[in-house]
Amino acid sequence: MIQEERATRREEYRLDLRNRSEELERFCSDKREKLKMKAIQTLEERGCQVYLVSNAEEAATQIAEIVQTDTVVAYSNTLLEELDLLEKLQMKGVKTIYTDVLARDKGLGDCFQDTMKDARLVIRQKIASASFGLTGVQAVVANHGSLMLMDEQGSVHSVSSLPDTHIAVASVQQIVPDLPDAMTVARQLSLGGTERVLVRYISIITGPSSTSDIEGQNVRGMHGPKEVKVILMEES
Amino acid sequence: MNNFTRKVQSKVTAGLKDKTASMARRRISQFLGPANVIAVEKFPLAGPLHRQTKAQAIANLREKLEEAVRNLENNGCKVYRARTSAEAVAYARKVIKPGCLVVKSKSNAAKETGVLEALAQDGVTVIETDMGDRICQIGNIPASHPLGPALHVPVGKVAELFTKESGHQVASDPSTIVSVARNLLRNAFFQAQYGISGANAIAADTGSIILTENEGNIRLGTDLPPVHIVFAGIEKIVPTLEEAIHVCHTAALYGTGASVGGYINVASGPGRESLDGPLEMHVILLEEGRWEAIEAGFSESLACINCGACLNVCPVYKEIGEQYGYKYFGGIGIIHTALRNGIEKALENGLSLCVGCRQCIDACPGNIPTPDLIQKLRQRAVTQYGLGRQKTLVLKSILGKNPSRTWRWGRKLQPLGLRRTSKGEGYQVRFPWMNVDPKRLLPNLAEKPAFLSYPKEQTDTNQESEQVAYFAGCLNNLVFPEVAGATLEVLKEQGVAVYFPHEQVCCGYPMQTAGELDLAKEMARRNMALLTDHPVARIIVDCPTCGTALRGYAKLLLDDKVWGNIAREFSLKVRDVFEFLSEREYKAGGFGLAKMKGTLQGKVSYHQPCHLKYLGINHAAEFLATIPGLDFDLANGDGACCGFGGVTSLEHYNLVATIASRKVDSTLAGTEILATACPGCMVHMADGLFQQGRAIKVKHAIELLAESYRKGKE
Repeated sequence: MIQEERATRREEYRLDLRNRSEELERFCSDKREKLKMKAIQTLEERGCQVYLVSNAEEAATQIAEIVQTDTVVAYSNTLLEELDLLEKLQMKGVKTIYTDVLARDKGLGDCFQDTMKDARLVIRQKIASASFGLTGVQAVVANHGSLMLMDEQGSVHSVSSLPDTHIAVASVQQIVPDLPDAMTVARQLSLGGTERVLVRYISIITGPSSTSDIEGQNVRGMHGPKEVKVILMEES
Repeated sequence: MNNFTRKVQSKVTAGLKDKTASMARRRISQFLGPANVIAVEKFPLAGPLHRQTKAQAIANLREKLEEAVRNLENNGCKVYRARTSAEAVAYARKVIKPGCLVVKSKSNAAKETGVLEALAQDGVTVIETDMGDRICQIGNIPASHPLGPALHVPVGKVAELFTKESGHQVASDPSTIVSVARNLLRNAFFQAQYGISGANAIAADTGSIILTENEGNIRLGTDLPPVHIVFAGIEKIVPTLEEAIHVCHTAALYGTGASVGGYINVASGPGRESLDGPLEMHVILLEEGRWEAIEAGFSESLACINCGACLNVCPVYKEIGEQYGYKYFGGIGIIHTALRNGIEKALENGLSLCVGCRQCIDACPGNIPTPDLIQKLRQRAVTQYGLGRQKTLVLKSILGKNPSRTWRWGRKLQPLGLRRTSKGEGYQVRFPWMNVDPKRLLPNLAEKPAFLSYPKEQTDTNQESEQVAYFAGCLNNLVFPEVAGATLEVLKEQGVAVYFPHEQVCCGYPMQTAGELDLAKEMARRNMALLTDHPVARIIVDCPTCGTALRGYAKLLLDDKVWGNIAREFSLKVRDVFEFLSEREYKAGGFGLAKMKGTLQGKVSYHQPCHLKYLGINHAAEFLATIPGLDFDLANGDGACCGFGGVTSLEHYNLVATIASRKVDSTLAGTEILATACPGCMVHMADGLFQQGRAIKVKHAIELLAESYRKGKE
């Protein structure tokens, strides 16, 4: 009985969420250009550098130009995979480390707690030693200049936190007006993943990490990146 | 004087001594205050939505708590409901193994429980990861502000601390220090077995812990160590994820002036076989004092999100900082203390300090009526511990009696106990008496008080003129009859028929703020009986504090079967004199008044009384600005409180005098008249000016207006 009730409630939730998502999508596609301008403005106001590119090819070129001969550690998500962005980067000769490969090498699948703890440490140190961390995003919030990143099992937070520069790849289709809209996206993308309503960790990033704790002077790169570069693609 | 008073006084003295910290706090509020106001104006719906969210969440707290626990557990969290701090600490000690390394980010609830002290006993090393907290931790320096705990520490000192900490010479420059600290702390993040955090909000529907920050330390501290322990009060629970995110938006807006913080982190349970994320997550929900707060009528205090906006405008906090409060700072901190640690702890840590300026209410996204809640607590304290000799004398024997009696006796006793200052500015005590500071300038009781100077009824020949009653208040009645005269003159000029009952007594505000509610109610009833025996449309006050009291009669006598309804009607009729003039001018189409004004001379600075400011009444300044010839500036219109504080000034003269000195310091050289619209501010600012030997006249704005009318007729 209770299970039935729960199932019904879950179904209702999904339906309601689907309606909201569709409505949001319609709204965003109507206002795409406006949202794009607003997002670029707010992202820059909050200290991100925005690179507007037309497609994945251009995005790869832009990233190669930023990274030069340095190393980038990449966290692969659906967006990046769909774009074949990582392959494109490799073709351009950018030195790239994938965190999932790091994990496989450390035998994380075996899931021995102790090995796992050691492995996590080694992987983190590796990530921290890279100058650039490359991730996709799940949404861009136009009103505040924020990027939304979601993660269930991977290392998107280490990749976006530990290196000095975070390069985030986003498409203009991902721009939503406000924070509650980003939550709609988060809820929608979390469906079907696990029994949880939401994936394990969501972070909303607005500009580089900073502190004003010493005599009120703002200094970037307190615990996270000193710079956040947003590659915004017109088409994906 | 009892032990509590002595303890608070020593805290106040300690706070006043630390001048660097108070300068840092005032600097923060100087840039944060205006930045917050601008930011908040850009998001006018943030505050109202926040209030609605919090009110609903707290009204349904039991239900939401259960939902939150269920969903957190579904997400794999271990939830522990701690009825007391001691229970919370015991649980944490069970989870955290002795001798381990813990990285900690800001958590008020953790601080509240005293878990850090307990862990230290277990040989656990806890590293604060917020930069400001870390500076305070390694330097063993008390925090001066909840958002910028180390802002009072000079950069040279910080460099020294990190030189010692790192073993290498660190240059005295913020970027260098930050990069050194980053490396040191990063190592701690990698090595730590546990991460302790608080929660800005908990979303009941998704079972998520929501945290916001700028530095990125929370992100690392909650996601890298294998075990994450959350300390949060149950009042952090809100129904939905969206509302929890809104709390973060509000906290940033009101706390730092940014629309959102650098990071908002949503953690919904531990990870399994994942690269990032804790493998175990414990959520300790602290209940101590929360249910009691709801039951005793203090629910509003639970809407606090620790943004610190109230502290940036609090005149007391600006001066004595962390000394005002216990674990939580400022007036709201005192309320939390009283409900969670007992009224005695609150008494020791500053229950008597709030000056009642009410500026925190407007600054707060939750509009928490902190001064009112403090009054309620003072009432409890009075029931338990009495008023004390000094307050009993002032409230019961002086202010609580008929003004005519007070004046008669006062005139006789004044020359005995007090001596006139050399230039005749006022009086000082001859010998230490009733703890009155010998330096304090006391006002002179007028030779002829207002009730002997002006007729009871001032009628206009015009039958259709508007009927109003005038409430002078003790100060205008007995000390500044010229102010009462000016108000009556201006009203007459307006063709208003004024009823000025001579038997009016104290408005009751001092009794109310002291927690002596029965006497306050008696005053209210006596005044209402007097003022309502004439059919008047408006009750005019020229003392905004009396105005606050009179407007508050409705609330004060809410449960009174006989007077409740009368009070409701009465309170609605109360108008400040300038508010009234402005209403009339508006009705008259905005002309007429300006024509009559004559030219005055002098450089005038205007101080906005707090009890007008919180009502949004700024008409006195507007009227002054229209007087021709006056060199008028708003240098004193920065909105800072003069610090009078009424009853507070009895026990804490050194504090209120320091606040007044800021006011005097900010008054431009060459100012001839310091104008305001409150006799309380007049008394206190005259004292402040006297202490610094500045020969500036203090006047009520209505005096200047009356003067200008007089000149206009000549």
